[in-house]
Amino acid sequence: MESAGNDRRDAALGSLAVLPDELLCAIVDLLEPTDIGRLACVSSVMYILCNEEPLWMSKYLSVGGHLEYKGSWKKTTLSRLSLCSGNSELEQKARHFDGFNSLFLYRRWYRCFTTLSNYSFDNGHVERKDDLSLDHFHSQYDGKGPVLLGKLAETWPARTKWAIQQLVHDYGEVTFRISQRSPKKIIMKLKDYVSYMELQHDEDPLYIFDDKFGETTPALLEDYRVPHLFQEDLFGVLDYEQRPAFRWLIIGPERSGASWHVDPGLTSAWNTLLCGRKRWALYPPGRVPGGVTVHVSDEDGDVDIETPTSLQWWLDIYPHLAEHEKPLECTQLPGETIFVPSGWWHCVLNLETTVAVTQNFVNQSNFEHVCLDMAPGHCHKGVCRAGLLAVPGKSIRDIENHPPGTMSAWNHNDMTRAEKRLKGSGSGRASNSANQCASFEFSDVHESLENQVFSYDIGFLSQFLEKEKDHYTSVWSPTNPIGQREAREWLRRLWVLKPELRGLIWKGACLAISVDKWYACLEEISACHSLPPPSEDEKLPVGTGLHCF
Amino acid sequence: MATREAGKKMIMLKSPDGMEFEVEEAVAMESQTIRKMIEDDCADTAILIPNINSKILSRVIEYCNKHVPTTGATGAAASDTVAPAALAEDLKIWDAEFIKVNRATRFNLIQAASYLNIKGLLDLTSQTTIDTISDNSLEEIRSFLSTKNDYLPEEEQTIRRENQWAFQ
Repeated sequence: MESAGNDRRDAALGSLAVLPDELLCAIVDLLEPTDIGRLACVSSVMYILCNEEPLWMSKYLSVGGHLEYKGSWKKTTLSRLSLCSGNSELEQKARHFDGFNSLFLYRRWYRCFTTLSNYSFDNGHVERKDDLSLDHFHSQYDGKGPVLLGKLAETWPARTKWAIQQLVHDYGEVTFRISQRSPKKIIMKLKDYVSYMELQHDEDPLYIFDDKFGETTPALLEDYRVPHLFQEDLFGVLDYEQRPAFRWLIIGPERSGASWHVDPGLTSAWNTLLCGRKRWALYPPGRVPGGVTVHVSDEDGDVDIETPTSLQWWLDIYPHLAEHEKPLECTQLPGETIFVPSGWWHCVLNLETTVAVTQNFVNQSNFEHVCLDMAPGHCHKGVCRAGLLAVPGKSIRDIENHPPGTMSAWNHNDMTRAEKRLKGSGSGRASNSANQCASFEFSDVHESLENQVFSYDIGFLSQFLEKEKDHYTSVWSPTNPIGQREAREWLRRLWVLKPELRGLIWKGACLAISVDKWYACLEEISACHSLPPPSEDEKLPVGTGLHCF
Repeated sequence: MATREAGKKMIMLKSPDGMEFEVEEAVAMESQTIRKMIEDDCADTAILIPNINSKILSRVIEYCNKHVPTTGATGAAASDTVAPAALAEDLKIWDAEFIKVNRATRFNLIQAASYLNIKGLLDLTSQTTIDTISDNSLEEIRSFLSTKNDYLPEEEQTIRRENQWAFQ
């Protein structure tokens, strides 16, 4: 297919012609901007490879900073690096070279220009309700499954004020934080962002994902209120600076959206859409989506998700899923609020320009999960996200032979594997039941797990805690939402401020910081010195714990 | 080089020209592609590696053998006993020797590293190509890569002007 009319390629690439286009692009991407500029002068095909917009976007993202989009990523990057003073130098007409074509470049271009206005899908599997009573919500949905709620935002001023033009009018000069895959921080003024959004044709467009909007623009907080179902937030007892990021303003165009993930620290979330439509896909806890790999560091419990972009997943993987492998799906409409319970995998694709607000929270239903996830070690973190695929008993062989540091679990990421899995799981790999709340079945795991079926129940999950790991002497995972000291402070405050929840708080504190061990020590010490045992209010540890044991 | 020890699981890799290579599973799993096959139980017997001939495949295995994290009898990483810096320095010297191959072999290695998804090898093999491009004149790049300047004279002038920023 690629050879037809491709006579220019060999001469223009010379010895590099043996490499496929994808690899050539990857190599060019390793070059410095000036080397790319010079390589473009070598030959026509080099010119084409060196002027690809995705290349220059990647170059920009590796630098980061305050972004003002200049209509193309090449211009934007050169101007950011001060490589081009005058704009006139950069005006270049679109060039066309006969005798070169590339399926790889064409496919990428196609993804960049894909429109999604007809990509809406809803089979009703995510229930829609106008509103729910708190009791009904707790008994039917909280910790159990997602639900769409139609009327929670009916009276919000944001319903009318958070339209793009209005927001630009009101907050055009305000700087917001941008989400992107590269580690470099990017910020943009809202008016610049909106102009970028209108001009760009990126495969994975940048989107505003700002956890500080309430501080930079307090007026925005007046435009919505936390719906009555989600008011309980146990992180709320912490001072604002101490608590983990919990609310985000999200603005993004068609094709953008968060790729597959589980929310940080196993918190639950609600997300209300003010403009546009979002397509959602969800899997229950423990069921890793196809094409996604979970790595949990066995050194510090750091959790890393390897996943294609949202758009790539929907275009390349989703169509190959058999009916029983499909996720739970829905298309969220303006005004609707979706509830995503703790531990649920989800992935979002914006079908047009969207404006949304989302908050994550800890309530009585997910409190123990959040506590469990803070505990040192890696096994329980793997199981909460990847189910029994993450159980070492299954893969003792793997762990012996692997370089230390990663543990991977995934279902499949291409047709061959999907087919293989459909053929059955005689070799003991996971098989998913057709049930939407599918669980993993295993046959060759170690004895204690024989005949056990994955469950997101805290009793099941907590057996994967590494009990020998001590809270004070173990490494605290860098992906935990709060630090070790803040976690102790959080639990202590809850203990004092929410006496009615002490039963639950104690259980959580046992999971997170082995408070039972600590208390037993205290009792022993007190008895030894003939002192009265600690009072009820003093049962939880305070301070750094340096001198505790 | 890692020696074969009793009890270690071995994997058979087959090249399309009919050669077979028996390697430790850990060595084969330096390749993320093979690793995924093994983890998905697609590798019960031998794994056929298409598009990579025996000459290249043997070099790839040589690389993986050198780069696989070795484990001692206690299971502790070897780097616990040898200073990591010295180990890294040793690897660097070894890599530099390893990559002294002709251009055709190097490009074959790039493709093999890409197909088998061995990041270290891909970085190592690509770097040589990057070095031929970085900081060299256009004529030097063309001559290193045997690339033909296929621009029309006026086309070349315009493009040079457009990219003047890269020559300053």
